Amino acid sequence: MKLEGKKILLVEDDNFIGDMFTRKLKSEGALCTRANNGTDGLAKLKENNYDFDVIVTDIMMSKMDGYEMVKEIKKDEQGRLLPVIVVTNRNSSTPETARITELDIDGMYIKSSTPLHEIVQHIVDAIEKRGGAQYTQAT
Amino acid sequence: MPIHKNLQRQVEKIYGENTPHTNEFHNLLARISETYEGRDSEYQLLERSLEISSKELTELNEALRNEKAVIEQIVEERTQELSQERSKLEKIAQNMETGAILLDRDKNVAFVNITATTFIGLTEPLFANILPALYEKFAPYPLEEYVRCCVAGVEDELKDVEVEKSWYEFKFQVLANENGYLIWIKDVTSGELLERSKNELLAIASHQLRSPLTVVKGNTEMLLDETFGPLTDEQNKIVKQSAQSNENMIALINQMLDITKISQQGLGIKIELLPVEEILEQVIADLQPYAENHAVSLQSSVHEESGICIHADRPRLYQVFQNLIENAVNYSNPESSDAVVTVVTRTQDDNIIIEIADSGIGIPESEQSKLFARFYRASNAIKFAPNGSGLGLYIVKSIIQIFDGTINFSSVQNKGTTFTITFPIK
Repeated sequence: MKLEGKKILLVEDDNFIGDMFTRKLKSEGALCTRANNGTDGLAKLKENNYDFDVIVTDIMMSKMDGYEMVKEIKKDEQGRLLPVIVVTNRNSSTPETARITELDIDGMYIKSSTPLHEIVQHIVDAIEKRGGAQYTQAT
Repeated sequence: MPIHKNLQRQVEKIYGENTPHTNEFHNLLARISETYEGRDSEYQLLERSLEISSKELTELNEALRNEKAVIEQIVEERTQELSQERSKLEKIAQNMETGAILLDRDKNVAFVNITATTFIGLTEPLFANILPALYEKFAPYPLEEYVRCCVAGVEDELKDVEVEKSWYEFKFQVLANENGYLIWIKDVTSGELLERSKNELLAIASHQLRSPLTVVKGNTEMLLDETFGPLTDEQNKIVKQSAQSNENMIALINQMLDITKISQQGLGIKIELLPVEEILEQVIADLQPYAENHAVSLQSSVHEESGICIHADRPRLYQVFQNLIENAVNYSNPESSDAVVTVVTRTQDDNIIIEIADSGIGIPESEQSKLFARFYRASNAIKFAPNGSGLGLYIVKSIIQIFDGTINFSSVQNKGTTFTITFPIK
């Protein structure tokens, strides 16, 4: 299991896609917390005192989109160290996807073109690259 | 010898009639009479030639008169024709959907149609006001500069001019012999709006379509890798087929999006210097399992380390090679026990040439000219593999053209096809 014990915040507004990711991540040993949009995601982060290993988020969501949420997270002293993997079905040449790559994210993947096992590997790599430098471990 | 009658009259007047004269006198009279005779014949000659000249002159005069009348007639007809033609042209010019402003040699407005004045926003167009009003209306765009360049002999076009939620295109033309200058204004708002809503619709549709396909993709993947327990052979087959159909649908949506982006020239392409053969070799390596699955031997003679570079975009170049090699594998004859796809590179002048050859079903000669058309699929290809979209080769050709390359092919039905791509070496 590649994600044994890893705490993952999954921000995704499509229930079926959310279920599917959760199923896969859990099968790899991860502990998944779900949020339905950016506002919800920020709330879950604060609730859990930023105690996550990685954030996996969609872009296009109601209330607050992925871009606004990641921008807020990156402003935060604790949040800016968290690895962020963006999963979207918008194409890479759209303005929504172009601007989110300007934030300090760890990767962006098209959901319909990337197999789940590859997304898992990207999550593993992102956690490793950040060297477990997340807030709870740093303090 | 008879004496000239005029002389006889003079002599008789002086000397009276029947007066006898000396012989000497007679001789003298005879000589004088001869002179009279000579003068008479000269006179007659002169009179005759005068008569002829005067006749000729009269005839000539007559002919000239006739000719003048004919010319006058022709001039009148032509003038009428011209004025009819002019009014016809003016009517056409006035009612054109394109705005037209004609400047004369001295850069003054010589004609403007209603369409142009409407675009500019003038109700009573005074020629002197046209250009200043034009510049003011389209103020964010340097139209004055374009007009100045046009008058200096430089023809140009200006597109995507957006003013007050309308879109315009301008064209600046120099007339023959620099006899004048034309400014064309075209309102492209409806086309622009249609294009925008079409693209928005496609973007939304593709996003919305991709969501359910993502769910099927992820869930079938987990079933197939048996994350949640083993499948029977039959179950595995069912899920595999569902997953494959789902992939076909995803590919179709991606291709349709590519087409939209190509038409908008917005493929998000980043041109850089790329080692073409290294990328080609990578694609060949990545597609080896695919070829094996189709019982096709994928062979290459690519000089991976040649260091030859071309100007291209990495993912799109990969896509081109992938599409062509996959096609070659797909259309190889499955009944043949030695189906082979070969990829060969060579250089010629300042170009690199890449050949992808298969020994497959080939393309019927009568259909070869349509091969690169959108949504076109050769009749034997449809029978052979019913699910293709007919978009792949159109996209491939469009991308290759963006990289200044060309693509051609030669094909013999039931023997095979060879695609030849040429890129300029950088």
